[in-house]
Amino acid sequence: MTMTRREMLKLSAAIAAASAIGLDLPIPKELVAAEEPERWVKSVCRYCGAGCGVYVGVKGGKVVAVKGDKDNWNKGFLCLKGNFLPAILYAGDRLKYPLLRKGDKFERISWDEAMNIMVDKYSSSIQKNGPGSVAFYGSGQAYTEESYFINKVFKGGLGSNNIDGNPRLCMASAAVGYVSTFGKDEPMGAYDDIYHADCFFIIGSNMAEAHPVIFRLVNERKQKNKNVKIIMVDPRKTLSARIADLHMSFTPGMDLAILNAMAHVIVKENLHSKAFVDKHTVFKKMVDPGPPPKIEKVGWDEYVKFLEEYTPEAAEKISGCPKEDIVKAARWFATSKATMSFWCMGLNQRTRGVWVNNLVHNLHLLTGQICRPGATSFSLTGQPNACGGVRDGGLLSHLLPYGRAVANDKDREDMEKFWGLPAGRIQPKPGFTAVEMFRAFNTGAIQCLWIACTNPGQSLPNLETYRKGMGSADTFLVVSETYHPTRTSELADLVLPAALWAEKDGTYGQSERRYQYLEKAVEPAGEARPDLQVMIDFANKLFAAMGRHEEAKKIFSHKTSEDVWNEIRQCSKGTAYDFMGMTRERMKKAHGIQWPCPTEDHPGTVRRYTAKYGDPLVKKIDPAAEDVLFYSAKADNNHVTIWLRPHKGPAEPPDAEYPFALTTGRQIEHWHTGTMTLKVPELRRSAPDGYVEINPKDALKIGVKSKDKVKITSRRGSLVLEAKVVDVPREGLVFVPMHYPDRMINLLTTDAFDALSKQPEFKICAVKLEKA
Amino acid sequence: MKKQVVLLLLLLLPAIAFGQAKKHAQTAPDQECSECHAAQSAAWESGKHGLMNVKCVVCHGSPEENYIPKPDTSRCIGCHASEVADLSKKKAPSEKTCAPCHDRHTLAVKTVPKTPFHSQGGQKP
Repeated sequence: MTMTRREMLKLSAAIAAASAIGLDLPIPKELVAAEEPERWVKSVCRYCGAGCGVYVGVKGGKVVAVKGDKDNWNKGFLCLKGNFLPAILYAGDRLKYPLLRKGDKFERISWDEAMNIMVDKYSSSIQKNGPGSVAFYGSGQAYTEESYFINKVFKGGLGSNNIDGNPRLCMASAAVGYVSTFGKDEPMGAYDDIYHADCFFIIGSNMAEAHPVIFRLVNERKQKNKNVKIIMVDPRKTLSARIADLHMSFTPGMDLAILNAMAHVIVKENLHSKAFVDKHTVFKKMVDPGPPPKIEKVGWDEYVKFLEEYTPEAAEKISGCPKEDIVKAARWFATSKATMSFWCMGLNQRTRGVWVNNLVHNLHLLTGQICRPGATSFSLTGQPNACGGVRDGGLLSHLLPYGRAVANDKDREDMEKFWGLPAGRIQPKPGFTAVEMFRAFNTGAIQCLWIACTNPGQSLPNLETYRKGMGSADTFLVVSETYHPTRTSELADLVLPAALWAEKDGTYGQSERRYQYLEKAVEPAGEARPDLQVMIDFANKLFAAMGRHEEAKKIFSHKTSEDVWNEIRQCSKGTAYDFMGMTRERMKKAHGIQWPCPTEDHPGTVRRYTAKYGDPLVKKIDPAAEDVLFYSAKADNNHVTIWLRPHKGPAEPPDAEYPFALTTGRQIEHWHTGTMTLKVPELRRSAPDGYVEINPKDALKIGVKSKDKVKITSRRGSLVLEAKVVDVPREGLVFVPMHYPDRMINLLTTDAFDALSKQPEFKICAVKLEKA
Repeated sequence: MKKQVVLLLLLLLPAIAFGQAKKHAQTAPDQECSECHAAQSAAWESGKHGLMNVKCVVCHGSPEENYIPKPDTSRCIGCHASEVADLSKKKAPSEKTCAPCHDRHTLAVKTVPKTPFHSQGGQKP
């Protein structure tokens, strides 16, 4: 049955009237059912790094539905959040035109005015204080083309490495972990390994809530193959632990001891693969942390000696994890036909994030559980394009695109030639990393900062310190945002309306090196524009203002995302990434393609570093290679590194004054700072507000029960939250979700960061609790 | 009084014509579904949707917005678009939903057919 709009309105009025006089009337299906789309547009989910393929249903110029892509890796499944994607486009607080701060208020201005103000501020600052006085803070949610282009503007055009982004808060330790062990970033395996693994080692990840569709595959593997073992290492007994055969709880931050103890057991019981170790690995230890760190190569005997102190008994003493569990986990890991590890922020957001990443890789290298189906060391990613846009594209202050580094002379020279720049334009010193950048903005060392597609006013650690700087009248803050106000845009001097997912086209690259094209489905709301178009305008206008318009015409001549994508393909040519085979036309039809993909007839690479399982670069680099070749580790003659990383705890462990450890994380309903998911009525209703999760024994000690108000205080701030007393966190640990703008837990978290990755320790700080 | 009866009838007409959906009783903002729907929640938790955290709101909407007590197949297409397409091949309206074959909350198949319906692309075995 179809209804006209008039009939629909009449019916709505009738039901409303009946409701008003207390009648419980039925609601016609037409008022609640989703509209039937006129066409389906191929895309990717907007949320996490899993990168589920979706189709966006469009009717009358509006997105009215979404469905999973059955031909993609997710096999048509979406998570709770993904099901409600259309609603994020039509939230009441969509920003539809540029806004300029006037005192405490914002006033609507035109795009021309906005760009002129921005260009004037940036060019004045550059002329007065040099290019190091301006910065850009990007995002693993921006499209690949956007991140690549703005990186070129800053590092290539302006000669400033002050460009970093929120993946520094999220994935930096994983990236540096891969680079320090394997020589190059990004996992070698893929989700396809889930179908072949007989043992899953999941540490520092609540997959069931943070990556539900990947978790679905793991669960399916377990259900169909009862011999499959799942080991879950987490101080919380999360929803993910429901399918675990072994849940290893431990004192937060003490997992380095557990991982070294597992290696101890593997070596002691002769469960390692001597052939693999001899053929493919070297051993290294850091003798001086530097900077720069002093590293020394050592031999097998020294590694065995290093492991001696990490007996299961000693690890139990340090971590509280039962020694029997450590032994069991080590045996399962080493002896299964194929072991796959997963981890996420529980390892990355740590002051020893890189070390603990190295220790997971160590277990795979020791046992040869790598580079064959089901055997792989796989880092889960938080954002949809942290891998594709930021890690691969080099939008971090120490990187250049596609595996190159600013500190490497040859890499700089390569990029200067490729971009057509004068020699010496790209600066050799890495720029400010995320936390350092906001510190520099506080002091005024950075005068102009452009934040795009992310919300550091809520997501930075030790938040109040940096919110003061962002809100300062002495500096200039531009925020490109879809919604207003957010906890960042409320602090801005200028807010630019950004087109959202489905309103622009571009490329996302997810956790398993799968790049996917997102087609534009509908027009942007109001005057919102794709960030790429704003960046192109900005670059050309800024360079013109600085008298460099001829140069701009040459290096910023792009008009569309396809123009940028074609340059990216060329930039990746001959690197370990190599997207040459991923033409835009091919990407439009494909359900994602995994790099390296060097030619148009190449299907993409599911597993890297193995000739037997299809990496095209292995035989190209060494035709005599029998199978595994870690061509990524050229400096060590294709040998990857087993690191001697000693145990070290968190920067701020609980003490007498602050006796609890605080950890933060996600709920399945929401994503990151909730700017999108909290706009969806169903998700907001299902998870409406922040809370603090407390172990029942701790709750008894402090005299609180569920729904009581609890004041939680760290050395940096405090927050009052509702208690949820539940046997999920271990004793001494409390958990608070990170999503809620009115209950910002990052007011309490520490900004101490990993010396190697510069990623802050969001996951552990000391707090005290009292009944409010 | 007569006017009120006529008004009431007028109000009821569309309801009779269009089906049996109801408004949800008013709830507290943080009230969880399981507080009133314990049996359904327990069944849900024991099934695939429970294990995968496909929570109540996906099928039923929130009590305040987009609420539907007996979900139609538009709520299923996010993850089961091709299975929903299979149902379009059924003739009787009562068969064009998931409920005749799947238990509403556990999602278990009530009677396992010799040849699974969906593997046949919606054709009867």
